Amino acid sequence: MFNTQDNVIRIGMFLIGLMLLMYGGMMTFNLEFFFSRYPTINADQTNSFFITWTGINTLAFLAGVYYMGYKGLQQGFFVFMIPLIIGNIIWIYMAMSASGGDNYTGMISQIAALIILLVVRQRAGYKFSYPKAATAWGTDDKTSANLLYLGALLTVIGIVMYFVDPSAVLRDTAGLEVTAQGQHYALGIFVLTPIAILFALAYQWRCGVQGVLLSMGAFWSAIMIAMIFNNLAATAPGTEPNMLLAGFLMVNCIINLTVFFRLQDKF
Amino acid sequence: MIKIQDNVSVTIISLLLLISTFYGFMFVLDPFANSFLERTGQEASATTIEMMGNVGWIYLAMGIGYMMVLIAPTEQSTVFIRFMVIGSFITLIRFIDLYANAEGDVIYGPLIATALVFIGNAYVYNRLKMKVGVFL
Repeated sequence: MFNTQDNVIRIGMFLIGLMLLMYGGMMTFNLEFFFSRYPTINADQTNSFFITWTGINTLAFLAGVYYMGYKGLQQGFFVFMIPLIIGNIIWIYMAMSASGGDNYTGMISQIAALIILLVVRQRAGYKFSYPKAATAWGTDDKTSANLLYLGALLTVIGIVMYFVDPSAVLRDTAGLEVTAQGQHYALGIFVLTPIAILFALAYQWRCGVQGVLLSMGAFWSAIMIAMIFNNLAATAPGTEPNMLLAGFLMVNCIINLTVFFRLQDKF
Repeated sequence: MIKIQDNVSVTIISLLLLISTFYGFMFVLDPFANSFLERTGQEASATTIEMMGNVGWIYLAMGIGYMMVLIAPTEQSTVFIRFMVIGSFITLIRFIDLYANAEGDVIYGPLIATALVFIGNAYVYNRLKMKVGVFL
């Protein structure tokens, strides 16, 4: 597994996969248990919406672990996951400070995951030098390269839009309410995760696209398209769905899937 | 990454994967399941939601199956696709029976989706030369 004989790497990645599976499964499919473990989080529709979204993201990260289990470790995974987990730790600290919650399980598991990833990265022999690929994104396919530029641009636009109006998504999406906790979840979804995505995109721009990151993107997109259609179908008759958010996500999904299908024969 | 060389088959399998995931999440996640029942005019009891969740997991498992078909050599996927052709055919016959006897306003989405799933599976099955006899 993971194309290595190093048992520390194997055990480390197994534990990372286990944590992602546990949190991804719980946040996507068992919200009641999640809310019971974190009583300071309001069990309302707004929080449920964002926790499910976070769960889907987590399952996509798990897909990356599975991918590397078969194909071998890739540096891009660490370039993405380490900033993401650092962001998560800051996010959890802010959430606990605001709500007074005393369940440290999430915080401890994120710190453990960070340590494991750093150890695995070290043992895999990855240096802090990033050799430049022959072409931008490491591919001659202009369509894919341009779509990746567009993806990076949209990611930046998404972050800027959050800072321009942090409660816009909550206000404009049917069924959601503008709450302090909802806004904090929006910070995680629309700022901290996209920052990690920007790290991953910058890395791929310089060093070439990575199969693990494109596969994670494709996996996420497949689930996200299903969720967008489900959300649109479930919107009560006479209620205006948030077409800006749905459109924004759909464009991202189309970019992810197009790049994946165009470049999949390279990995 | 994708082992199937035929682009049409890859597109159809990807769409089948998407349909399985769509219905899987619709049945597994309670808000979507409730909404689905409301639209179809049925009562959303705890038992119904529980049973829909069970069906939803089967759909999600089928979605994973289609994902495996995409990344495995064609000959390793033959039995799965053959099973899906037969399974979706039986489901289609059952749906036709249900819709033929339905009264009042009915939503034809599930019937059309089931028909498309059967046609898609059968087309891929034929196109990838998995057929061993006249019919299957």
